[in-house]
Amino acid sequence: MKFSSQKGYSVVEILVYLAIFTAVSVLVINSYIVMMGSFSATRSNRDILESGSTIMERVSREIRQAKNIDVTNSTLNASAGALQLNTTDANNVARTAKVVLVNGVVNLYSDGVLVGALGGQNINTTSLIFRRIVTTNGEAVKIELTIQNTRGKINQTENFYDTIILRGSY
Amino acid sequence: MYIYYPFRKKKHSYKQGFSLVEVLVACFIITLTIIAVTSATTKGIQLSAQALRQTQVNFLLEEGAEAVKTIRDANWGTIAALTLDTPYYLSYSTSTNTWSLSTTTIPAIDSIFTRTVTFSSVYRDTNDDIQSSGTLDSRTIKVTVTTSWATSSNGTLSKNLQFYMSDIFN
Repeated sequence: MKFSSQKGYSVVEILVYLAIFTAVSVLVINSYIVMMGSFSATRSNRDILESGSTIMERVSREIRQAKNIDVTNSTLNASAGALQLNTTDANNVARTAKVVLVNGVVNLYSDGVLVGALGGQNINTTSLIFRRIVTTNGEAVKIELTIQNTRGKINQTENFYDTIILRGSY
Repeated sequence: MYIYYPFRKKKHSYKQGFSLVEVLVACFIITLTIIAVTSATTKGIQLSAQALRQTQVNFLLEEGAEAVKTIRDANWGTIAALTLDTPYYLSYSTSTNTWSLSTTTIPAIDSIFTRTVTFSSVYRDTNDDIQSSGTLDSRTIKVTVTTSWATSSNGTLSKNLQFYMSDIFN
């Protein structure tokens, strides 16, 4: 039969097609991997940000309201840290507040009763250190918090630092 | 959707298959879409990383302000003796548990954040209101805490916190 140039595909056509198909596939798969990676990185950032700011905000508020630090019932200058504060409630009645790191979870106690865990479920608090600063006119606490997030290939560790003066110590 | 059979015997119609131009246009559109989606996710991950850094910086700025206040609480003389309009670095001594100011450059916090504190004079008018010029108030000082950090996408970012601090204990 006479060969028609319009019938079937030549080797060159198939090669060109394969080249284009491969290039497009590589691009699609690569971008999919990039998107999955950025999705888990974004989620990790969000978990650490939420837990870190919640713990820091709540602990600094407790410290700011407090009158003084109960040194004997606190673990200072080392992790896992514990900080017991003599403070008052909304009606100016004396109470104690305690923040303590146990097994990667920061727990808040009020008058010895567990209020709850600060921070989310997906994170692990690897270090919490309280340092007591005593000045001529008052007291302050330096907080050093380390949060770790391990999920899949992600292993992210971030630190948060703050220093809060006990307003009740003035 | 047109289905083509590459090996059928029938005379080839001009409508059969895709022309190279059509394939190229299709590839172009797919590529453009993928680039758009990928750049959007890349921007997303940058912003989420930036949000985390910004939160850490907020706490570092607060710590800077409170640390300067602990130095004031210990002795106003330390503040009064500082050189004005010169960046100072805050360093914490874990042995004495005190904050101190020094003009010597210290390593960046977590190798990321550089925090400086600058002090400037405060002037008051005849109504005792703070103005840019007037009578020097030697018992009040303007404090600016600045934290800067390098980002992978937006160069070096910086945030600052300004407040007035008075010698309230004498």
